[in-house]
Amino acid sequence: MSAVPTRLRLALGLTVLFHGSLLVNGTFRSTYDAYVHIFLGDHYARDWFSTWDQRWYTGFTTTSYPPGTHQAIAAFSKLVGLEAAFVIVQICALLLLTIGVYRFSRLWVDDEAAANASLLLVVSSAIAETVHLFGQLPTTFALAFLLNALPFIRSWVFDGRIVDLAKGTVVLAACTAGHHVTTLFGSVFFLGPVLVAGLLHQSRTPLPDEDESTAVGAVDRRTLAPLIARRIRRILPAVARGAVLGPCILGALVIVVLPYWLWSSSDPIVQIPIPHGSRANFLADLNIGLIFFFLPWGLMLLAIPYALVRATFDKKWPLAASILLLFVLGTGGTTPVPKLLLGPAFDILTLDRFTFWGAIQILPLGGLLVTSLERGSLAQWLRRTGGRPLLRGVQVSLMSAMVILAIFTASLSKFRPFQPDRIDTAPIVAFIEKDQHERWRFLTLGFGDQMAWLSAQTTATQVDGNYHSVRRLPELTSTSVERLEGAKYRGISGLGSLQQFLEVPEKYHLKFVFSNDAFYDPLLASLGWRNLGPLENGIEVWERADIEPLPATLPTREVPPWQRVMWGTVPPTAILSAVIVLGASTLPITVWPFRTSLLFGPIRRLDQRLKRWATLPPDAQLGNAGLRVRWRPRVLMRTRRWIGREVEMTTRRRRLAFSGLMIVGLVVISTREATAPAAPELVVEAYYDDLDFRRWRDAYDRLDPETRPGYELWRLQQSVNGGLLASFAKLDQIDTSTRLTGDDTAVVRTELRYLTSLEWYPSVEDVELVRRDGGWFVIADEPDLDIPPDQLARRPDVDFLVQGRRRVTSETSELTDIQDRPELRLDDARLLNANGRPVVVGSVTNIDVDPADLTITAILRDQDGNQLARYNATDHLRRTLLPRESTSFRIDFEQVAAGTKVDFDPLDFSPLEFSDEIASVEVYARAAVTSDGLFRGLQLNGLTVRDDAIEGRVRNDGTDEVVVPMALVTHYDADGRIAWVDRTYLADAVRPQRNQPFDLDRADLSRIEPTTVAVRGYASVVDDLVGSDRSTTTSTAPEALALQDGTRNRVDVTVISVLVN
Amino acid sequence: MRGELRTLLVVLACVTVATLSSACAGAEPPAPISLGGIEVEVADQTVAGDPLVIRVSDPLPLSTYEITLDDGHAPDRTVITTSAEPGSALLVAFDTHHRPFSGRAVVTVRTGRSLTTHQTEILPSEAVDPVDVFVGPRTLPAGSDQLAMLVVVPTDAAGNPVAAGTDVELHETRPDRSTSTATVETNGLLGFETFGPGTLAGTTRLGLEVPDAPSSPSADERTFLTVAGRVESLTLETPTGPNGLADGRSLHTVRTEPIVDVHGNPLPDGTQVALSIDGPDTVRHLTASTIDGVAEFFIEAPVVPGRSTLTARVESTMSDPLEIDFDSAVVDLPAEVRATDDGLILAIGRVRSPTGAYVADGTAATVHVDGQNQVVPLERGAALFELPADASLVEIEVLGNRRTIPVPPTVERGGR
Repeated sequence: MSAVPTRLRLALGLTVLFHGSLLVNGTFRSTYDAYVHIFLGDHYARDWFSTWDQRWYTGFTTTSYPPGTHQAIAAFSKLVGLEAAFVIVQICALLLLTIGVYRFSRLWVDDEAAANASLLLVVSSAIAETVHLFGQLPTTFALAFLLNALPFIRSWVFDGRIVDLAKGTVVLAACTAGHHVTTLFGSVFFLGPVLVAGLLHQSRTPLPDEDESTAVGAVDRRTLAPLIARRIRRILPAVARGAVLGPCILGALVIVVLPYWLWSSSDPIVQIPIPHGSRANFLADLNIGLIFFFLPWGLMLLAIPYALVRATFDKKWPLAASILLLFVLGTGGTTPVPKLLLGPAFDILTLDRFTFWGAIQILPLGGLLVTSLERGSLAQWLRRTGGRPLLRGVQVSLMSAMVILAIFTASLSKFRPFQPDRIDTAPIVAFIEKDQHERWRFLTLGFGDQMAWLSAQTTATQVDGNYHSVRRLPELTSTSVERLEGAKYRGISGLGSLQQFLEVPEKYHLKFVFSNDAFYDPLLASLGWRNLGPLENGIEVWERADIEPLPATLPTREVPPWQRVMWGTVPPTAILSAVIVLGASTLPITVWPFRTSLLFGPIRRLDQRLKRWATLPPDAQLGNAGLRVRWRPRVLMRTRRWIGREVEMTTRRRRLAFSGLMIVGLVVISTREATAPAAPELVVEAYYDDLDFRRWRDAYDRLDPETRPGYELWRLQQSVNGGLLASFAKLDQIDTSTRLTGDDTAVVRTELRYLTSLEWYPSVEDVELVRRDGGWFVIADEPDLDIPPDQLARRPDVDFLVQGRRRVTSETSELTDIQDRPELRLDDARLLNANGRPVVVGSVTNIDVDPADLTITAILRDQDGNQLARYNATDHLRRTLLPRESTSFRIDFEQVAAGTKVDFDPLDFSPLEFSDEIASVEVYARAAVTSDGLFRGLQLNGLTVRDDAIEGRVRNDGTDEVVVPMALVTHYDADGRIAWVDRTYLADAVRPQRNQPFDLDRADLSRIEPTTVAVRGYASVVDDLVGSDRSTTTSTAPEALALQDGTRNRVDVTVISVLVN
Repeated sequence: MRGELRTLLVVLACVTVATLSSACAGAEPPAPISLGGIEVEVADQTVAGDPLVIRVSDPLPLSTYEITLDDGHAPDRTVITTSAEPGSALLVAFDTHHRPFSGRAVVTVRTGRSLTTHQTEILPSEAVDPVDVFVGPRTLPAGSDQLAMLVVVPTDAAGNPVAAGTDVELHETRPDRSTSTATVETNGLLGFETFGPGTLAGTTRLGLEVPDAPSSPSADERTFLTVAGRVESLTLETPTGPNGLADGRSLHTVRTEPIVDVHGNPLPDGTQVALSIDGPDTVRHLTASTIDGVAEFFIEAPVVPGRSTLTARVESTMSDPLEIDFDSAVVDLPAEVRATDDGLILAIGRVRSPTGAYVADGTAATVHVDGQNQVVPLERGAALFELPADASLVEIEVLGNRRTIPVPPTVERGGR
């Protein structure tokens, strides 16, 4: 390398100052991927040669991701800890990338432009986004090595320097160690143009043994073949050397991460495509377009036309073509081209990588633009147009814009957070490590990517993880949810995936949930999870009783020892070697300066033959070898002449004034548009949006100022309205239609759809508005005037305390401290065919004297006794029973968690199909003593059964607020047996000593039929429940209100407190 | 060379003699086992904790003996290099204090290519504290045929279950404070006894000791509960005092009499009792937990006067119906129609209760006009309601009290 230019030094210094300081300040903690890489680094830090990690997805292989960056983190972490190690590796990657951009640019442009390119990299919004928003360390790491490898490769191909082949291969191997996809695609997008441009240049450069006087003036039929032969001969050595290069690249790609290729061929990814913003239509969703297109390109978007034109006519068209192709591929779903080009890979790849590569690849041409703006043709044109002030203004504006955009991009997560607030994981780790809690699996909710950081600090295992390519659990691979803990962002299908784990937690020994998002509280409570309370960091801990611990030894799937040795030695060796090679190349030492043209053997014979074929016919028309006809389109020539002409001062001032007026006019028009009064439906939509995002003051300002209560009173009225919709719902959709009822009054019919962790909640409201002073305002609802009768309510109650371990000890619980299970009686159980799917219903009574936490499991078997499906009663039951209390239950066999022979649409919620294979059913009812979930203050105050609905009122006679009440409706047939069980969550909370009306849709029982499949029950005794006369032995559950429906069959309604404040 | 040859010849001779003599030799423990000239003596039985002595007669000098004790756990190897003179016995004592597991053990003595094995039995020693005791189930319904079982496993210092036939004394104290003692003999490593529930609810306490052991080891007290069984009858107490008012909000307390089983045991605290109310306006359903056998309900008054019928239930046992009357909560229902600049206004109130106070805020007034019902909440006993301009007849109902008001035709109807 020649003397380092000043601007390159400046770029390196700024990289450390700008990006380094941001990293040290912890921007990586708010990124998507940084903690994933830190977690994988922790894996190697714990066991360098291990390729199996138990901590995610019940175990996964780490040969699924090239380990270079993770091993680098692991190595540094021995000295400085994991987070600091990540920072160090990232800064080193950026420094190497800066040098790489400079060296890559020198292949295309002069030194000055190349140095400008390295400066542009520092303030590139693509880098700012990739490092400080996405945390994609391997992307920058691998690209750094790739760009540094290209000069060596070019030198080998076109100059024949043997040592450069070795250097290029070693550095390319390091690239693969960081990220194999960069090697694979980089060979096409980065190396390809270099080689093509080089070949074209060589094809135009005469060989030393060619006679220049024989340059052809005109190409005709007789001279065409010799000319082609001449061109081929010129590039033959390069092609031969390229043929040698090919296997080297292949070797660098395959051998370095051979265990990865072996794994991916033997264990192909079965994950269904997970949506990614980079594949979206950016014009339809501008927010996504901002993140995945406009931000990474940044101001380079303005440079694209200049770059493409300049590159095309400076014989750099291969570079331009590559940039253009990357530009198109990066448009994702905005155009059909990427899908056409990539085929099935479109749904697997994240396309932002193409935009990133394009934004880097354009930098050499960006450097040319900078040079031109400094003192080149563009600078001259600006000076001639508007004088020095215009030139300086443009220079300063562009420079400032780039810096501001880079800062804005790097700090975007501060004012538009993509992650939850930072979580202190120490209390969680402490909880896991005490009382042998690590013997069970846990799950996090609402942690974002910080769940990986938590995993890095413990050896406890999760069912979830943060690297979806390696998951194999069918409950996860069948869904497009990226992580369970962000299930709500995928709507009901995402919540359905989460629900399967929470409904059958014993399947994976899942016992603890750490929740950072109250949105999931109703779901956890409804499925029998118990809130143990918050840790010191505010994270709520939920526990499920009666879960067996993990076996002492978990199954592992380590790769063969030779692969493990390879995985632990080859990638780090490649990286170290590359660093040594690059470092040594800066020294003024010439190592092995030998070259080769590879012109021996058959290649030499071919060369000789081509030389003969290149001989021109004697009468060929010769031309002037010194004449170089440069082809330029007339438009370009005229444009250049127009740009270069002189402009008078008055003309310049006129143009400046006109430009200024245009800008001011645009601002005025935009401002007027933004401040125009909104239509009634827009006011209503904004009002509900404000309520949804808790922007209370904004919502209050939309109320009619003449009739609304004071702000404090209004806030108080809002705060007392609790419940599922008010406290745990997200507004998903709103549709409005306006009906004017007068000149200044309107009614907007508003259809709302809320997403809760339990289900969708549609709601229709007629919102009244009034117009005042040109604007529309919402008329506030009338407050509830109802007040409870007693100022102080006293209610007797029985408290239960399950002592657990009575002796303070760190050993396992003594037998005498373990409560034996409460006795249960299965009163009824039968298998129904409900619209083509199997459903088990029944009822169970707690005949013991202690409160019971129920788990009811049903197993479907075929004639040979093989299990077809197994599932638990989820929320169609009362989860806890007091002494002598009963509940009906219903078990639906949902999706993959239930069985193994299921094909389904993951975006629907398709349950198991009813099959003639079902020969018998087993129902198991077991319980554990509990002291939670025993609130019984809800009363049914009035019920009316109609054909399509059940109306009534619920009264809370207790002293606690019931935040999520649920109505459990049991239908009986004419024989008194349970015909169906249904449940509905009530949208509103019931405050103490108050009433709440409700309206339930009645289930359609027309497509539900009982079956004669044998059912055997296991509670305290084994009982054959089919065929026995249950109508006489089944008593009315005393806590249910029995009604008669239209057919005079019995209907029981029970109200249950799912979540109590 | 001569020494090794001599040794080889001796070994071969011993092998030959041993082979011939083993065919004739009977098994007379503790007869020494001899193989290749090695005689090994091992006791047939040893008590766990005592040393197990292995005697090798006439050991070969400068020979290495590998002696192994395998008691089913990890083998314990001891390698000995002899330095004794020929003719002297070699004694090895395995310290079973550190390997105290009872049961059969195999002693293996190996030297060069010679090997001999011998079986011995390690017996448990005396029972020590604490004794392992298990009792279940926790609860038994009084008078039922269910049983609780106590299982006792006395162990020695090493944790070995003691020998069969060891006596264990059980002391039982019943809820009525009567006591009894029984002796249980261990058999198959444990002893057990069953207990019936009796008829009196309460705690049965169980203690035990092993009287024949030197320290009379014992264990923590164990208990099981006898709880109330099947409920025979259930009665609601008749409330005292005047009838309540049908105001739709006041609460009235109704209790059960103490609920007992057929033996007079009160139901355990927390047992659920349900109350169904069939009232003049609707049906209601409440639950309550028993405390000292009594369930207490707080029932909301109906919104119309009349009779409510109450029925309590616990499991399948139901009470006799109890009837409670609620009087009207409205003394007077004043209302008038006024014409205003904004149209016809129905002014309701002030509606008062028999006590003279306003009816409670939020009390619903149902206005029926033009075939439609609208509900208006009363505030301080009053409310205003906008009537349609063409209304001719208005019906009002408050807490079961109705009034019909014709709209006089002479009332000027202002427009808006």
